[in-house]
Amino acid sequence: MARRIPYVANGALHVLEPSDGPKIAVGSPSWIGWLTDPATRSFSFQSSSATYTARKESRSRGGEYWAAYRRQSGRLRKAYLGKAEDLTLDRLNKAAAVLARSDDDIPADPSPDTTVQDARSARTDAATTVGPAATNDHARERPRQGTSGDPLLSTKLSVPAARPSLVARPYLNKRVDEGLKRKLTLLSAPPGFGKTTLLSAWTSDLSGGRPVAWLSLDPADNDPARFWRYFIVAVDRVHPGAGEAALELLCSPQAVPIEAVLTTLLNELVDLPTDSVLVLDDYHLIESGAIHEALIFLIEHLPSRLHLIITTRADPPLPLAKLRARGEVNELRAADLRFTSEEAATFLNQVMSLKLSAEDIAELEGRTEGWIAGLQMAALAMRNHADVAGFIAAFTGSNRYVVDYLAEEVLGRQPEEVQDFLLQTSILDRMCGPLCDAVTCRHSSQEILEYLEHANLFVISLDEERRWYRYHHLFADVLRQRLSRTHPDLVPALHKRASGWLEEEGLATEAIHHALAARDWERAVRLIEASGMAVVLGRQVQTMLGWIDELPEELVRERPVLCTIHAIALVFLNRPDAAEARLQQAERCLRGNPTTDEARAILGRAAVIRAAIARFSGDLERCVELARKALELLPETEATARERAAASTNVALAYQVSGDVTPVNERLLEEASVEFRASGAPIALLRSINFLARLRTLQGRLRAAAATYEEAPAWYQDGTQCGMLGGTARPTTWA
Amino acid sequence: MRDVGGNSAAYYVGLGDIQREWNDLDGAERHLRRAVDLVSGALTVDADTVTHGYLSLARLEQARGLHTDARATLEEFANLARRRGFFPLLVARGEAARARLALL
Repeated sequence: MARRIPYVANGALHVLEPSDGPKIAVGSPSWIGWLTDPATRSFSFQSSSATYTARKESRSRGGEYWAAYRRQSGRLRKAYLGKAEDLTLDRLNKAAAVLARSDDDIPADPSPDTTVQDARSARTDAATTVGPAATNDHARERPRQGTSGDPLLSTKLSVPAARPSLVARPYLNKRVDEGLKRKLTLLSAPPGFGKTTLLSAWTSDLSGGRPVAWLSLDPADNDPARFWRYFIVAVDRVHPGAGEAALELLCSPQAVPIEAVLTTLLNELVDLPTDSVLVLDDYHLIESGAIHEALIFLIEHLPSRLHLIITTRADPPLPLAKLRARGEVNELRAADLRFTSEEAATFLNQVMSLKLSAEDIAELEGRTEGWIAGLQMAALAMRNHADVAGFIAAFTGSNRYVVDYLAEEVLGRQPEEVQDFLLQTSILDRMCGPLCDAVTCRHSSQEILEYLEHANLFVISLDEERRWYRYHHLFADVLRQRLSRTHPDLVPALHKRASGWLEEEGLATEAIHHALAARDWERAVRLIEASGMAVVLGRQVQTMLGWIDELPEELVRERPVLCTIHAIALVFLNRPDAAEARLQQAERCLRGNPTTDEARAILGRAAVIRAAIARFSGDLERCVELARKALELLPETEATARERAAASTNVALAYQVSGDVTPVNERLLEEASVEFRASGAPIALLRSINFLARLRTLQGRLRAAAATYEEAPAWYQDGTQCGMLGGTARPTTWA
Repeated sequence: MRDVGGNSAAYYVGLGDIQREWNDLDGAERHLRRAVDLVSGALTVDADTVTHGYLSLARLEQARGLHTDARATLEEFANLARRRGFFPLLVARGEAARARLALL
C-alpha cells in the first residue's frame, strides 16, 4: 500500500505512518530532525491561502533543499523554500501566499526568498506541457514547439462553461446534492436531456468551494492508459499532489496493474477534509472492458468523501443492482431531467424570447415530451416563423426524426456563410477560431463562433475564456451527415487542413486522427513515426494499435521506423512473437542499404528491443549478447542516446550470466551509474543502481547493497513520471 | 521509506531480501509483498526480478513456519512463469524451491 504523505496544518506536522504518529511543531528541533531524515521526501502544507506539496530535492553540487509545488489553472508552479533550517512557519506561509496568486499577480521580479517559477522548467520537459503558460492567444492548449507525443488537453479537464441564460432548476441541483451521501451518481438519459448542462450549472452553484474534478470523455479514451492518465490528472487538479505517485506507477516502464495504480491514488484521498466530486462526462463513449472493470474496483474502494458522477446515454456495465441494494447510487434519468411545463414555458418565452401562447407551449411540450434538445431545436426553427401554430402541428415522430427535421430547419434559416461554416467545421471534435480558419480557409471564424454561441446554436464552450468550443453531439451528427451527403469530396480536404493546423500547434494525436480520417496515409505515417514513440512509451499502446490498424498493412511493412514502434507496443502487450515478426519486416526493408546511420539506428533499435524481450523472459545470456550487438550498431548521435544507455545497462548484466561479482565488474557498474547520472538518463541510472546493489548483495556486502538501493528513490520521479501533471507523456524507455 | 513507483520492483525485491537476511521479517514482508503486487500483473518486468521476489517471499513464509503459504507463493510463481514463457532456468529455480519445501 502506498504511504500517505505527512501534512502540516495549524503550525504542526502530522505524520500519518506509523498510524497516528506524533504531531511535531514547525520550527522545533524535532521538525528539523524530521526534515533532514533521509527517509523524509515530502509533505503537504495546508493553510487558508493555499495548499501545496513540499519536496526535498538534491543539488547537482551536493546538498539538499526544499521546494514547494502547487498546481493552478493547469500549471504546476514552484517556489524555492530553502534548506531544512530555513523552513519556518513564516516561510511556509509566505510560499503559500505566493503560490496562491493568480498568474497575473505574479510580479516580474518576484521576492528573492520565495522565487516562483513555472515548475515545468525545473521538473519536466518544458516542451511537453500545456496550459495557460502557452501564450498563444487563440490556442491556449498549444504545447511548446518541438513537442512530440500527446499533450494533455486541458479542455477535457475543464467544467464546460454554464450558459448565463439557463433555466434555473434548483430541485435538480438538490437531487445531484443527494449524491454527496453516496458513492455514485448516475445521470443516464438519451442525448439532449441536459445532463452536462445540469452538472455544469450545479458545479457553478457550489458556493462552498467543494472541489469538482471534471473529465469530458471521447472515443480515444478507450485506451486504458489514456483514460486513467486523464482521470488521475483530473483528481490531482483539485487535490494537488494526490495523483503524483499514481502517475509514477501508471507511467512506469513495467506496466503496473491498474489496481495497484488506483490503490495508490485512493490512499492519497483517504483523509479528505471535505466532500469532493469527480465527474465523468459522456461515459457511454467508453467501451473498453478493462476500463469498466477498473472503474468497478475504484467505486468499490472509494473513500467516503469522494463521490463519482457519471453522465451517459446508456447504463454502463457497472454493478448497479448491487449499488442500489446498498443505497450507494443516486440516479437521475430522462423522466427526472425532462422539462416540466413551467420550465418549458420559461425556456421558450424568456430564454428564447418567443412570446408563445399557453396553448402553443402546451402543444410543443406535449410533442417533445419535455425533451430539451427538441424544444431548443423547435424554438430556433420557429424564430421569425409566420405561422407558429402551423409549425408546431407539422412535426411529430421519434426524437431522431425530430432532431433531423428540426436541425435541417435551423440550418436552413442561417445565412449561407454560416451554413458553410457549420458544415465544414462539423468534422472537428473541438474547435477554436484559428483552427476553424484553417479548415474553412477564412479569417472570421472567431466571430462566427461567438455568433453561434450567442444564437444558442448548439455550440458548447469548453473553457471559461470561450476559446474552445464543440457542437452539441446531436447537432454535430446532423451536420456531418449533411456534409457527407452534399459535399462528400470536400471531407478529406477538410480533415487534411485540420491535421495540418494541429500538427503546427504540436497537437500530434489529434493531427494523426484527422490525417487518418483524410486517408492521407503518407502524412499519417510521417506523424506517427515522429510522435508514436512518445505515445507508446506513455503506455497508450491501444491508441498506437488503433492507428496501425487503420493504415494499409502493405504500407506499414515498408516503413521500418513504424515497424519498430509497433514492435515496442507489441512487447508491452506481451506478444513477443508478433513483435519479432515486425522487427524482421523492418530488417527486410533495410537490406538494400544497411550502412547509413539511419539504417544502423533502426537495426540497433531492433537489437535493443530483442534484448528487452530476452530479459523479460529471463534469458540473460541472449540479452547481453543482443545488447552488445546494439552498441555496435547504434550510431553515437543524440537521437540514439537513450537506446545506447539501455543497451549499456543490459551489457552490465553480464556479471549475472558469468557469476563474476569481483570488483572489476563492480567498477564497471559504478562507472555506468556516474555516466548515466551525468548524461541525464534516469531509467538507465535506476537500472544500473539496482544491478550494482544486486552485485553487492551477491558479494555478501549487505549493508553496502542496502545503501546502494536507497540511492534509487531520489531518481524515480525523474525516471518514471510522465511529466503528465503538466502535459504530455514523456518518453522514458522500454528496455 | 517512500513509495517509489512501479519501476521499483527491483528496489523492493532487493531491499526486502536483505531485510529477510537480517531477520527483519516484518519489513521484509512489507517490501516483498509490495514487489509481488507490482510485478504480478506487469508484463514488462525482468523475469529475474519476478523470480527473485517470489522465491524470497516463499523463503520468508517458510522461515515463519507458514508452509502452506510458501507453497501457494511458489505455485503462483510457477503459473506466472508458465503464462509468460519464462526461460527454463528460472522455471527450474522455482521447481527446485518447491522441491526443497516439500522435503521439509
